[in-house]
Amino acid sequence: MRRALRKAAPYIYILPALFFVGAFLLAPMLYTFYLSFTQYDLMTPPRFIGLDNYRRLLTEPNFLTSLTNTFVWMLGTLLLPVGLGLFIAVVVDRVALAGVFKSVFYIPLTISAVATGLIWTWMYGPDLGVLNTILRAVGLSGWARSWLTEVPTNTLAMIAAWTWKMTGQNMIIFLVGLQAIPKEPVEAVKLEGATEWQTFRYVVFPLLRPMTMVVVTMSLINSLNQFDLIYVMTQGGPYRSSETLAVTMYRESFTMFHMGYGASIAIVLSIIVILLSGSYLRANLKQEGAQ
Amino acid sequence: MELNGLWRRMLCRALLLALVALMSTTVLAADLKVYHDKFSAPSWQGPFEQMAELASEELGITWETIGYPTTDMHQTAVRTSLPSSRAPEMFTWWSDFRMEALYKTGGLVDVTEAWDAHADEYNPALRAAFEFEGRVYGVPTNLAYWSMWYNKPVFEKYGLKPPKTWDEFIEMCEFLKGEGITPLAHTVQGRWPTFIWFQELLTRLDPDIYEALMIGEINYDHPTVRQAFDIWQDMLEKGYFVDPGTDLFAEVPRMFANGQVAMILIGDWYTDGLDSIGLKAGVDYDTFVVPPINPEVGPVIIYEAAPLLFSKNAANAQYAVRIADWWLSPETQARWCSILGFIPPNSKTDASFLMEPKKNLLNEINEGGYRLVNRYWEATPTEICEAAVDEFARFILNPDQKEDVINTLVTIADRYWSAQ
Amino acid sequence: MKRRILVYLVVVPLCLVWLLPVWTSLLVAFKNLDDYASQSFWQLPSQWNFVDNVKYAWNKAKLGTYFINSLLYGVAGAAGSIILASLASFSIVRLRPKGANLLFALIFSGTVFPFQMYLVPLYKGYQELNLYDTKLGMMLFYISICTPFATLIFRAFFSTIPNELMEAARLDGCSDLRIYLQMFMPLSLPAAAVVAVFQFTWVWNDLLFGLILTCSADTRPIMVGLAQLQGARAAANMPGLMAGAVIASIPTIALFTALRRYFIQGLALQTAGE
Repeated sequence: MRRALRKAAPYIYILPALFFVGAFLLAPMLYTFYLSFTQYDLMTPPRFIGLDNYRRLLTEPNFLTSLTNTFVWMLGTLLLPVGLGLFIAVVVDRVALAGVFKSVFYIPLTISAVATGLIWTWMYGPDLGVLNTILRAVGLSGWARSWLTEVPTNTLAMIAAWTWKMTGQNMIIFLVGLQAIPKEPVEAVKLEGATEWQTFRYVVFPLLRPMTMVVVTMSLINSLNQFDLIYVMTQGGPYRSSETLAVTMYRESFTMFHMGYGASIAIVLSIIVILLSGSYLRANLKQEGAQ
Repeated sequence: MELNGLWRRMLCRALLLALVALMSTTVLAADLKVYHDKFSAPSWQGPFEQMAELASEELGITWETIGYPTTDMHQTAVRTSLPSSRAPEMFTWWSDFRMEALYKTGGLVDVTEAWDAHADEYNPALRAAFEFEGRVYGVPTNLAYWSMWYNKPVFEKYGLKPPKTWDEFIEMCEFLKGEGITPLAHTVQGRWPTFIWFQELLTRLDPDIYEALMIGEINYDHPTVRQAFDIWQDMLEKGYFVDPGTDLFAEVPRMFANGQVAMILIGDWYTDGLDSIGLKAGVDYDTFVVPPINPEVGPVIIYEAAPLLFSKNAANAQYAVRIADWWLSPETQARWCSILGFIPPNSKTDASFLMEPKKNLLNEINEGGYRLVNRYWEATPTEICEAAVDEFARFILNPDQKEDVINTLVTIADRYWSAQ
Repeated sequence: MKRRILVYLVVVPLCLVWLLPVWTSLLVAFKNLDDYASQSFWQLPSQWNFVDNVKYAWNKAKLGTYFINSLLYGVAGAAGSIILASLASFSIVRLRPKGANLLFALIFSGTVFPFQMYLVPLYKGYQELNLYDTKLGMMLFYISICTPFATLIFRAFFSTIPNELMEAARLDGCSDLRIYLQMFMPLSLPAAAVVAVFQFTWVWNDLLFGLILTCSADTRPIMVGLAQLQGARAAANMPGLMAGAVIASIPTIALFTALRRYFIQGLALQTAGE
């Protein structure tokens, strides 16, 4: 009895989290999986139609645009908010005024996605917008443009807005990681005459790996599921040119009320997310285990 | 350990807060529920609450008003609950094809009886927007007319008058452009507003063709439809419009107030936005109906009818016809429309509360024998409409892709109608 | 030295870029309608109208009622997920039962799915279970949705704590639960502070679930109130909206400021405490 209990004990720690996630997140997910094989408009009961939704997805001309945009978002997010977040965290760590810098980059995080979208729509406005006004004022009116209606400028412009919002979050997670790094190895290589870059590249960055893993994983997931900002700023337009898979899914589900079809897009999207973040996580966990 | 204490304190506080919260529960006092989607700007939350008070005085029925600030979540809530007894007794919706799917589930209450009692008070075109197979399933919350709203000081400065013919209108656009003022507003932002100029040009060419196109009797390659695209392309290329990336609700009112743009073609509810930045009706802005392109076309105006619908499965569905009858009466309409500044749909309602421009518009529609045509958003099937507004956006941004846009529209419409 | 040059050459201009949208929208919150309509973004208001704008936002959107609700949901989401996630992570990283990685993957999979797809099943499920439009229902959901990310953070943080510490404690005869409570939790204050700040902010800024899982003013969160100030079909009172957005972000900024020292100077604090 006691031994059984001791064996079960580690699972008891995990159980509460598993219960909450299972009941409130995984169960709805399973229901959506079921819906993806049906036709459903929320009013008449779901009708089973097999793989039709998935077949339709493959023949949809806009599917490729959404997929491309989704990957552009992924790459852009890994490059900008993650890269910048790491850069700022490393550079700003333990310098004078660090607190001020950190707060500045943190502010956008406290603003909701909807408000962020509104602010940036306004930054990008073609006539009264902040960006174009500045460009015209400094004699660069040739650079002024309709940021949200030109393709692919619109997607890049929104990634810039997202960078503004998310860099602070990544910076902070990196900072937490930097705090946990023991001082001794860093001091040791410095004494041996390593440059700042060498210290970072060969000592700090590898020690930062657990937090890098958090940041990259979250960024992968968030960027692949990117929805809020696009929906406020362009609604995926003009003519569906800035849609990501998540926006397409939302449009089918909550504008057209093709719930089954929307569910099939959600499933495809999740598979992409699981494949990418899963393989990244696995590779890292393996490395961790080896150490 | 000091930190341990901090943890314990934080935990205790969180648990305490949770307990307090759990013990408070909501009490529901009203008989009915109304769901609406005008929870932001414009807001119908206050007006619906005032109407609930009026209803409780006059009918002995009261309701709880639940607003959704986004139309998608409003629709999700209504659709999901409609088949069950949890459905709201009443909810705001859209007319015609946007209402069809709900009608087909059999979940709406037939309120024809109430309409028959008020038959002589309403334009039959309005009733038709809520009618399926001869029965009516909703009452109007808002009847909006679509006309051109213009900057009055700009017009006065250059001695311009509302145009009587299409040629005069185009001449005026050309003149304003020469003065450095953008004549017309439009946008691709927000997706839906791209149909505005399409529906206007086509109804000014031939309202019969417009209506035939809406219900699939003809397709988008019809010569008259092509002609509408040609005129539109010409206007786009001549630079009569603002940058299509300009937001119709955030930026256009400010540009209009500054005199950067002279005219906005839109439903009369748009005046809310103009008033909200401090413009005065009749002083700063006024309105006119766009003249016909084809002179043989009589006076036509596009309308938009928003209904209040009643769910059959709701717990207290039995009140529906009584409320509908009360809602349609000239007195109730006077109350509702005066709170919101709407043009009353009931012809017996005293409309003297209206702002000057709307009063004049209403007189002109009544006396000029105007034909009412339902707007594109509701008049054509949703499946076509949602795809078409994106194609219109492509055309606005790339007028040279006209042929391709028309071909795509033909395919979209074909696919829908052949499946029916 | 080199680092200082980098700071001034790159970080200061970046800061200015970051502040530009904040500054311009903040300025709008201080303008009256006339100034807002007629001025360019960089012009200072002719009349400072902030107090009136705040009053407008506060009254029109009934922010007061919603404020309390969101505070409750935010605290529940943050505290709940910290407890659940730290417990689970402790076991996954330190007790390493069979299948620990699989269980972690299961918890973590709660974040991979696009959130919008939870809406309809949750709405239906909540109505069946009578959780719809209740504070309890909202708290349970927010705790759940906050847990996967929190687990990821705690897992990463716990794995940086040297194994020797745990072995030593075990040799001293400490039970696992005591090690978790008296050693891992105090050491993980930085991680807990990060989770608290991020998850509180997430819950605070959530509109979608607040909208679909509630319908009365008693239970709705603050973002629903804020959404009332936005224009769906008519131009919004932008100064009012911005004033609303400013007051709505006070709690999240305050929380960040309050907890900042725990996760930015976490290490220093540990050494001082011991």
